[in-house]
Amino acid sequence: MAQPSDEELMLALKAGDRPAFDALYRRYRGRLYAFLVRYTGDPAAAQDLFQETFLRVFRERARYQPRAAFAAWLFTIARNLYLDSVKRAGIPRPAPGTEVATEEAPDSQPDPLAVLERREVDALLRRAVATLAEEDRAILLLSRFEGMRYAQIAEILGTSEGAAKVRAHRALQTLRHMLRE
Amino acid sequence: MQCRDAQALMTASLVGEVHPEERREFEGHVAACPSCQEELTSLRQVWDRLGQWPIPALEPRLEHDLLARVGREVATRRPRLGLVPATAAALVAALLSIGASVVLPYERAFELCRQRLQGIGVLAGLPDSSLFFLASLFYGVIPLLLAGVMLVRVTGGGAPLSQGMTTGAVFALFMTPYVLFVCSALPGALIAAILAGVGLGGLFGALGGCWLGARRWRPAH
Repeated sequence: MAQPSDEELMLALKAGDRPAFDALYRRYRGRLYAFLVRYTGDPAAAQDLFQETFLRVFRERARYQPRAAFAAWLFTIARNLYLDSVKRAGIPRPAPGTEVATEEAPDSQPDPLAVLERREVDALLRRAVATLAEEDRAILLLSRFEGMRYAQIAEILGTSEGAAKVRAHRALQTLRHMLRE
Repeated sequence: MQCRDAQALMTASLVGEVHPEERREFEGHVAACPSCQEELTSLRQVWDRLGQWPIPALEPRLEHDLLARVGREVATRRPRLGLVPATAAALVAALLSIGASVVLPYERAFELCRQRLQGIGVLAGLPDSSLFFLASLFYGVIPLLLAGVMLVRVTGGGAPLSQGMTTGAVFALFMTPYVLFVCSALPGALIAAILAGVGLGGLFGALGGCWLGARRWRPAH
């Protein structure tokens, strides 16, 4: 049987179907959390934003209009909450030594060298991505990890598709420059 | 295609977002240009490296906390249709409506209405009570339209139909004594027409305002 789409689940939630929220949560929990950790560079801030984003989805269910894809709506909420929190209190840039727990493959014996390598890659990328401008960072992460098209990203950022494309290219060039240093 | 044009498309080419009409030209240029090949290769390496970024693990505690918070919201959430916000919206609308009737009294609105409708066929022959009814509609529609939109903006939506009906009904309750007081010199039929106009106008205005508000305010934008 075909799974209901995100938008169908959201409309069901709007109509009062609480399990629809759990289904949406299960679909997006990993993706949203990964995005927030990479985007903010701060696991503690990402955890707060993660909870606030899903709570906002639940609270604002009555206002949901299926004009835009649910994913775009969800990531728009997450980004706006981040921008609000930065404006309100300021979220510090990640400290160079901040550890981020990462998922290990199930049933695998952790190879110390592999773990070390993953941590190095993580730290290197985290530092490089943290240097990007906020919009560039969002565009790059949504494109690379969420597989979103520029048109959808432009909708989330409230910009044009052309501008999103230009900024994505600029972000990748900056990242290359940082990783070469 | 020049190198500069090809380079501008490189990141888009990594995600397959080069328009079909440009793609052939882009691929032809890169195939023939060692400098652009090198540029594309280095960008692809960064792109691939970015893809190696380990997936941050979600802490089980987070999930537990979130679902518990949602559960608490469900348990403690009051219905969105509360008499308090509806009463507040109706009170604001009533003040606006009363203010409008001070600036432009009902009798003056009736005169304006009659003048406007004089040249319009069957409407020219309408009885005074109908004209008072028509003129009074605006004293309900416009304030309640504004109040309905504001109500949804403040309460965050809910059921526009119920919210609108409640606000419209409370507004009519507020306005009735005022209309009876200021129109006490008018015949009973005209007072009834004004009351009906203000009340019905308020009801439709509130429904329209709540509906517009629910459409207008999408979350987190």
